[in-house]
Amino acid sequence: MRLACLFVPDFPLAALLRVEPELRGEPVVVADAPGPRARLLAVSTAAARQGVTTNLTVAQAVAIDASLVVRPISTDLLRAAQAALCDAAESFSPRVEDSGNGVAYLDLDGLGTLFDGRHGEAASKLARRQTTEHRQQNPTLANVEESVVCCLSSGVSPHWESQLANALAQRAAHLGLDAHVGVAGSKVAAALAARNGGGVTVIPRGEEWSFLAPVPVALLAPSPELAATLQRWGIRCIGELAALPASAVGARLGPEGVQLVRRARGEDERPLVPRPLPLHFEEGIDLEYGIDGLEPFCFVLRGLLDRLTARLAVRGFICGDLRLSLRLATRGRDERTVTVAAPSNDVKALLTLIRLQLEVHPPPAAIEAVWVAAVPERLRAAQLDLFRPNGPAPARLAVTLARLTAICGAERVGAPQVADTHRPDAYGLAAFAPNQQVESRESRVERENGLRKSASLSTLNCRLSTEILPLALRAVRPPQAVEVFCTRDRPEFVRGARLAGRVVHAAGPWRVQGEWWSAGRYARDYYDAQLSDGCVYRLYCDLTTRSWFVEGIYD
Amino acid sequence: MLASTSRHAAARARLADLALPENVRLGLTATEPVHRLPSGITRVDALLSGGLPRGRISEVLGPLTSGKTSLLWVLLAAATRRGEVVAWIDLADALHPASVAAAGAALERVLWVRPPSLTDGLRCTELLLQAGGFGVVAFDLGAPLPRPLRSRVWPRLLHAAEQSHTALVVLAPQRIAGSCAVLSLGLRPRAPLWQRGVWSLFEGFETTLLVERNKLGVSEAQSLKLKVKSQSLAFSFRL
Repeated sequence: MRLACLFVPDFPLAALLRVEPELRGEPVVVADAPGPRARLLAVSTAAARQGVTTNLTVAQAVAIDASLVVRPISTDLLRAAQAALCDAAESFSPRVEDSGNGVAYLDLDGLGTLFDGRHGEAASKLARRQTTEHRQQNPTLANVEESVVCCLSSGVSPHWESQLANALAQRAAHLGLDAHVGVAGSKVAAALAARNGGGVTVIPRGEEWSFLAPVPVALLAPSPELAATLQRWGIRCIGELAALPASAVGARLGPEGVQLVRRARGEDERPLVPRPLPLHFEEGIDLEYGIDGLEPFCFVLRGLLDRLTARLAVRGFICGDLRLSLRLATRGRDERTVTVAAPSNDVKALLTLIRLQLEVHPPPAAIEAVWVAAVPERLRAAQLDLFRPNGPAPARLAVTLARLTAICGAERVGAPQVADTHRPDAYGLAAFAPNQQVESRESRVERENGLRKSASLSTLNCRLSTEILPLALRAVRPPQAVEVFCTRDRPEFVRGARLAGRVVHAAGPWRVQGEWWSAGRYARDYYDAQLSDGCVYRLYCDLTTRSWFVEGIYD
Repeated sequence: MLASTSRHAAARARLADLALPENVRLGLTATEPVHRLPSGITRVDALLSGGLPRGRISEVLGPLTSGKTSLLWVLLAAATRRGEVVAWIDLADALHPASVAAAGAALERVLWVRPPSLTDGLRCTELLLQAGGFGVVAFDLGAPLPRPLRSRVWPRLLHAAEQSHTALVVLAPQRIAGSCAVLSLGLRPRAPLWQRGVWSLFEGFETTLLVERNKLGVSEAQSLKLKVKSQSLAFSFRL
């Protein structure tokens, strides 16, 4: 079994630099809490050069270097960075173990066929160039880099492993994380290779022992008491520890000592446990101060969406619906869902959709933290019809619909539908998605039959020719109440808010009633009436209230 | 001819005096052919020189019970049957889905937008034109406007329609788009048709379709008599 370990050194700092890349090269420290007494968790190279170390407090560090950029640790950032690291690993293999704190393992078995031929050659060249550049930038890691080059050139290790490891490092870098990659036959050996080396380290099959023997015992992270004991015994390297008999170490140091010896021999405590594939992709950030303006909030959102779509893209997904979770200054939470009608990784379009919703329903207080989760969707290539117009572009249509909804309201934008009821004034409204309408064979047959029936009815009843237009009704919503003066139950005169006139001709009544079993029951007498103004109206008399209404005008 | 030649020479001499810039070209620009959206009704298409012009503003005008809504839905239904996506901006909130279905329109290809005010309606129209991909955008103004629109509204909409190659059709009682409309169709109501008998029935009405304005050419006929009829005699099946 071959395993790879992705390890991000100074993980809190890496998570911060992923969100604020402009701080790269600056003296930055990450503290475990806000305030001057907080302890430093991670220190950037520039800050370390000034003498700042991780065992200082913020106040002490700032006293050393006043230009220090101090950021408190954010669990949201760490969680998102860890998820991004796992995404980078899962873009190569579905068997990925999330070990947390900037470490992820993946199973390399079966991936050899993906890295051969021209792609492999190019990746190998790129890996060599990156190794050389990395060695120039970081001379302290020169010996480790040489071992990598030796592994690559000796041909003992399969060529594809080094190519894959380089590709892994590049993929993590694409997601904003500078990860070290170690490849070996066990989790412990791969982790030690990643931690001890810099960049990419591949331990050839069967050579774990020779590689691990000179590595310091401290990298196995023993407890301080155990480390002191081993120091007294004169054991400095892993090779020396692994050579000790486990039973004798157990008798003296207990179970912890036995576990340490097993790890020194490259034996894993437990096998690789792949994590279940995540259903949602999430990114979040704790803001330093509350934001109450839309523009600055959109600036923050853009960064989140950039990172979110990058993670989705490396996994071959596109962004579906978005869930926005806002922590407010009032300690409340604002949860909302932004529907993405046309799934896309276009950050501009996604940002517009969120922005439009926030414009319509702004949060009630300033925002202190934001969390965005995306529902991943698979990209499906649309099959265009050669003989039909293309119609609106899905992403643009989604943005336009969102804008229209923001102006008019959700209940006033959509595709009209004939309601499945006998109530004459009923209508329906469906979501407008012309590109998703795939006509099934049954519906096509049904439609053709309907058209044929309609055509035959028309021919039979109305002798429709090409010069006869189907009659349309202009609805009056809500129905307008009018006064109707009747003689022998025939309407003679109509008077209302915007119409008045003598009835010139009338047809009816047609009694329509239904839904007697529910509160929406209706019973009406309908008339078609031509008034003296020349217009023909559809009137009805509500039989329950004996009041008259205009339902529509024929036009 | 001589007069135009002399004017041309005078213009050239005047530009030469002003130091003719390199990007100034004298002469007429080549006009692009106007694509049409046919209605499917032979005589109407003949009257409209092929149908509604794409990338232009057209007007369908007339009082109530003149058949303007029926005519426009026939045009839009033909477009949806060809696979076009159309939008209906319904300022009057008067769309009757059963009528639209009776006209033969594919309802899933109709976007129905009901703006709350005229200003919002104009914004919606511009948004839809800018989105592109719509064959026809119809703006139903309903009642006469209480005040005239600002002068720059229609040029903006015309520019958006030209860019997106969409036919913008305005449904109104009277002319409203001014010189920005290349085609104005007026409908004049004639007599309603009643079926006499024991049970009197409203069948429809006759109307006259007039080409009031056509900047894209002159057709042989300038008017057309049409009948607007219900597709079924029984009320329960009507529309």
